[in-house]
Amino acid sequence: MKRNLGLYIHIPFCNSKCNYCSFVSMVGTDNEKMSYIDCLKKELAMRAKEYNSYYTISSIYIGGGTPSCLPVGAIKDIFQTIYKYFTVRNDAEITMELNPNTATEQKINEYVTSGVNRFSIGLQCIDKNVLLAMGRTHTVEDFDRTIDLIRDNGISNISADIIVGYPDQSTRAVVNTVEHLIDMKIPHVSAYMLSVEEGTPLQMMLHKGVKNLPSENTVVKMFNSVSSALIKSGYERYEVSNFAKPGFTSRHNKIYWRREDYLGVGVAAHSCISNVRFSNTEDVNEYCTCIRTKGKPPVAHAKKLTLDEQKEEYIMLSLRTSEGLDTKGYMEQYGENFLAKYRDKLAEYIKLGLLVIDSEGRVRATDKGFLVLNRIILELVS
Amino acid sequence: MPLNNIRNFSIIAHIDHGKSTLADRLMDVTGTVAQRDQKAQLLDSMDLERERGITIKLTPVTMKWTKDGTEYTLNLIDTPGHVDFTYEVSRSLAACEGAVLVVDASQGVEAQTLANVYLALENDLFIFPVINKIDLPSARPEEVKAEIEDIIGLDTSYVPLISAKEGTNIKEVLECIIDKIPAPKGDENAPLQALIFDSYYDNYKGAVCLVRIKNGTVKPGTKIKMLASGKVYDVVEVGIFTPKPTQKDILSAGDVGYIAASIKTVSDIRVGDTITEQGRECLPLPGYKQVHPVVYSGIFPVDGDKYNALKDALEKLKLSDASLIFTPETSTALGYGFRCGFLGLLHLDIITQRLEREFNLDLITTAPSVSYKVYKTNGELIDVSNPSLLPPREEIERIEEPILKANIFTPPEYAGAIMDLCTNRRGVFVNLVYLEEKRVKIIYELPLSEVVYDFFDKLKSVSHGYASLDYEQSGYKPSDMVKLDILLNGDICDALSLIVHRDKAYERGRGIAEKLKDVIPRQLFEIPIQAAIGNKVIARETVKALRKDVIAKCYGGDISRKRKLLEKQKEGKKKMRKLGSVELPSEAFMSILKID
Repeated sequence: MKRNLGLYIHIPFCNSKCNYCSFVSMVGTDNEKMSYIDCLKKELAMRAKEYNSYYTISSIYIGGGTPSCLPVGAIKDIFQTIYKYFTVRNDAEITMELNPNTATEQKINEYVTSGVNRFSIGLQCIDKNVLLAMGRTHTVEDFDRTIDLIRDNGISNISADIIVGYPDQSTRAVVNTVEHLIDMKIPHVSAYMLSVEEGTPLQMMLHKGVKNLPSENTVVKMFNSVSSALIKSGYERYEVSNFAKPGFTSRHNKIYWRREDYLGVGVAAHSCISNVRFSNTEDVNEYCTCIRTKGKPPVAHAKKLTLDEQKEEYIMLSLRTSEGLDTKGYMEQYGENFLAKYRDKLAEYIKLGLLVIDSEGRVRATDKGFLVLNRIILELVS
Repeated sequence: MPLNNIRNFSIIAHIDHGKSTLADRLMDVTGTVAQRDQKAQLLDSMDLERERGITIKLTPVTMKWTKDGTEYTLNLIDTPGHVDFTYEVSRSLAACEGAVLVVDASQGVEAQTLANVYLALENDLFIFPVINKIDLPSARPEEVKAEIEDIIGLDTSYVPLISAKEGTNIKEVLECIIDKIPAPKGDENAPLQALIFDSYYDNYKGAVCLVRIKNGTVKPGTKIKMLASGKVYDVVEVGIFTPKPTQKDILSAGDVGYIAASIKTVSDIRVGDTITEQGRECLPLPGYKQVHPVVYSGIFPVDGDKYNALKDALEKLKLSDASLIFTPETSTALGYGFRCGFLGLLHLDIITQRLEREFNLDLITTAPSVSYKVYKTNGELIDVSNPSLLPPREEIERIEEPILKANIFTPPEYAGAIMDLCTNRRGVFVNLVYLEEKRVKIIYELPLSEVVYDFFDKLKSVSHGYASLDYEQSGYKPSDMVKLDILLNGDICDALSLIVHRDKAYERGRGIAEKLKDVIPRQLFEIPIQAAIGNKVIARETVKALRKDVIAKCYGGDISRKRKLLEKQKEGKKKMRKLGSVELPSEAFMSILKID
């Protein structure tokens, strides 16, 4: 019996870079894009040799960058390669990230006929001034048009990303954004509290004092409004930042939090297989050169996780989800009684209203707990 | 060497005016040290000193210079430049007949210039000025010359204009030293009389005395006696510094050098003591004082397992620093450590930094305290330098605090501001004397506890740097002292307790609570900070609970990043002290001092 594997494909190209983004991405010429796809296909073939006899693909996620900025035909090409070398389950969840202003009717048709059955769209905010400040080049109208195009192609499994707490973003703008998504009946929403990354233009602007972050209290209030609006409309918060209508949770995301095996292909892509975490180089040129000349994927880092690290990850990732940490599962995997080991701290956090233990022996974070999860995890593991 | 051909001198200067550069240049010109052996600023041998640009450890050097066919021996004795070491400076100056005053050609006469001149004058030294840094475009030597004459009152009929950095006119300085500074007086046939002005520890020779021979001679085999300590030793080696220790057959009256006599630790050598020959004793030299610690502070390893390493490190430092004392101490908050005594806050700072750097220790230092005499109702008298050991109020009949007699020298225009400062520090006015038209001496009795923290800095600030301070302990006086406790989340943190005067307790308590609010990181729960005298809470602040600390995105690559972050945070947590459930960063213990 083959095991399930999540497949992640990284497309490092964007038409322009957003001010808050620290992902590996570049503008890229058509030639560069085609050359990269050529290498990506080679890596897929190499990786398939290694893994295809043991795994079937249960989910695929094409992320970036902006995968939809690739020329027409490129995505189809990638999928044909995947199907050629890998066994993909018939019921696989196949997600692709879309930018509202790069998606044409022709492209969406190409993606859907290639097998894509779920789209994740970066909306971020509906306020055009906020979008401008973020360095995004689309409007809410572009978003609405894209949704129509996707639905015309028979796909209803759609997710939208929104950012909470961007400088000069009002609570009103955040609430309007989430209400727009609810009105549009978007069944999955990822609401990310802004995190300022090193080396981004946003970080520079904050450093120079050109922009100011909203206060912690404001961000917490904004996020709570988003959360309660979604929950009131029938969404479930199934992870710190993810909300879904019943039946629309992302299977691919859950692979990460359940510590199931996944393979990342492409520049800067990360993988975790049998408790070994490894990642490709973040340099596109190095990536292509290595694939072409050495005939192997340019793995930059690889680390076999120790048992303690595995336990830490288990705690850190499971507590992010509404399923929480299954103490029975923890016992089965690590032969250790979680409740006994962390008794004092758990009691403290339950008392503070940050965690709960349910009747099935699951330790779950409350809404209040989700907001300070880093600290809870740090306290537990140190 | 006839006494006429010896000159013993020191260089005094405001910080940065080029004392060390001039010293290097003098050695350079006299060929005392090959240039390739020179590190910048040779005299300041410890890294820490070089970094701070101040000299702590004194290293004398003997140079040779021939003038008009006669070879002269020039002994340069360096002096530290901080009030913590005033006594050491005074003993070093007592080993000299004169001093070269270095004044910066653009900065002119400044704070420390004057303070050091006063100290040199007290020791009856002949002082002649040189103006340094004449290579700077902003140099104004004529004006500075006028300042020297007006403010200090020194003769400026001939002042070498030099650039120590570029080596300009260095020979003139040497000629001036020979012409102007008096030759030492003494009789080499008289009984041995040598002034100890410093000591150091050598791995092979043991503790070594740095001496100025006033009378008589000393050589290997001489049976010497320390007059103050009464200890007797056989001399193994004598020598001079070139600047490396260089063995000699004999040291005679007028010489500056070292005596090694298999002395175990520097604690056996007391700066200011007189060395004589056993059986042929001289009179003791004036000015000897036994040095006592001025402030006490608890030093604890951040990692409790490092207690023994800290003990070893302190013992090693003690070998070369007689003024450092320590005894074991236990704190509920901080575990096992040592209560250490220091000459002052700079000394404390130097010791803790050396412990951290040279012995690779992470330390927590508690707020320094002076030592109080506590008279208990049962008739017992105890010394308390650790606030947490102060007996309960009902057992105390009275507390006496150490008092200083402080002499403050200043130009008269700052006298008012200085007197305000002293009053503010609970000082009692004793006298104000006009020494000269432009120099007054203000005498105050001040509680030591009010002086040790930042009095010197404040004095410099209110006098625009011109005032100088020397002080001597003048006993104890009853005082209304109380123990100020700090409670975190309802529990007393013993390591944060202080002994303060009742009149200042409220202000201090408020200040500390506010300060702690800033340094204590927010945690998952609210942390009340209270300052209390006994059961009475006098100030309260709250560290609000953390509301948001979460990674929004946690997918493929984020997981590795998050794990790295977690490792880093775990390391950070190790540096925190846990008091009950409250986490305190190490610096919190000292930060409570830095309050205005």
